[in-house]
Amino acid sequence: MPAPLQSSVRNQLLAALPPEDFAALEPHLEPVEFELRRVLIEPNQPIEHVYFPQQGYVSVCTNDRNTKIEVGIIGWEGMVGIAVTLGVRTIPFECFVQHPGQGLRMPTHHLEEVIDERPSLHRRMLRYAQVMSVQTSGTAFANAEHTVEARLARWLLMCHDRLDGDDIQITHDFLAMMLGVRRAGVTTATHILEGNGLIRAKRGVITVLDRERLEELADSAYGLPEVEYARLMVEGP
Amino acid sequence: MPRYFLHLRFRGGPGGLAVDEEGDELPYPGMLRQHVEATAQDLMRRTRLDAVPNWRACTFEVTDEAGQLVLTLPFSDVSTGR
Repeated sequence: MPAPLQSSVRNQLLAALPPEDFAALEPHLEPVEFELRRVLIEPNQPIEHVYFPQQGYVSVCTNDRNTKIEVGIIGWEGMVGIAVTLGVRTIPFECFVQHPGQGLRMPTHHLEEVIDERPSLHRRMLRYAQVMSVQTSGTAFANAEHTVEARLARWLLMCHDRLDGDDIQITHDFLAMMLGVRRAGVTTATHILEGNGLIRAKRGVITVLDRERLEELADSAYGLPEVEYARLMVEGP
Repeated sequence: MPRYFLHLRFRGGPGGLAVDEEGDELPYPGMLRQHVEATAQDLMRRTRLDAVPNWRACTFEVTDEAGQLVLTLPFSDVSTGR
């Protein structure tokens, strides 16, 4: 499989790199399929590869015995396994494919070598780690402060940001797990959003109909990590 | 294993029933009431929905796979366990 050209790469973290930084990573990148529910990083197991999603997105979930709750979403804007750039090889969370697609991956030790040699690349990845930290804080804030309707709106917007179309494949059972509420709570919130024309919900699929009003509903629950991503990763420090 | 659908009646009228299309599988039917009570308790304790200003005014209307109503549980009948 030939190495990807930077101009054909959809992953925004890679696409936005200076050409010489991309060239240093490129020999180690290989395409990988993101099958639904594929586990990319196991909790407390060595991170063998880091992943750059190109299509589809990945959930970071707590690994409690009884309850899994989503604490992060990573799609084409980012990288799965950012902990490596912070100098660690394991995380206590699971990362799995939430929406199928494909991406690029590289062995962890190669990334470690490249960032050791290229401090500017390392700094850029640390800025992305900071964006993920803001996203996690945003999840904590939303869970503490917002109603299920607003949290559902936030979650749908974050998925929509990482999708080509408007259809989000998700069961209420799974969504309940993602949001950390009982399914009846998710079903009721979905019912309300659908009644107001913001979404259409069929079994296993939620279609975003009115993004603008979803943003109004999510209010302060949505947007901070997205602003920080633009500020730190697109506009530059 | 039998599957039960927990529809939430959160206000009157046709728009006031959140229909459960997925359901919960239980090992045996005798567990149903306990399961529905535990679900109601958890909702009352820690779930904030704009659509539900008062959980105690809600009711679970539970159907089986044949669509038969098998249990009606007003939340006001459930202790919050505290």
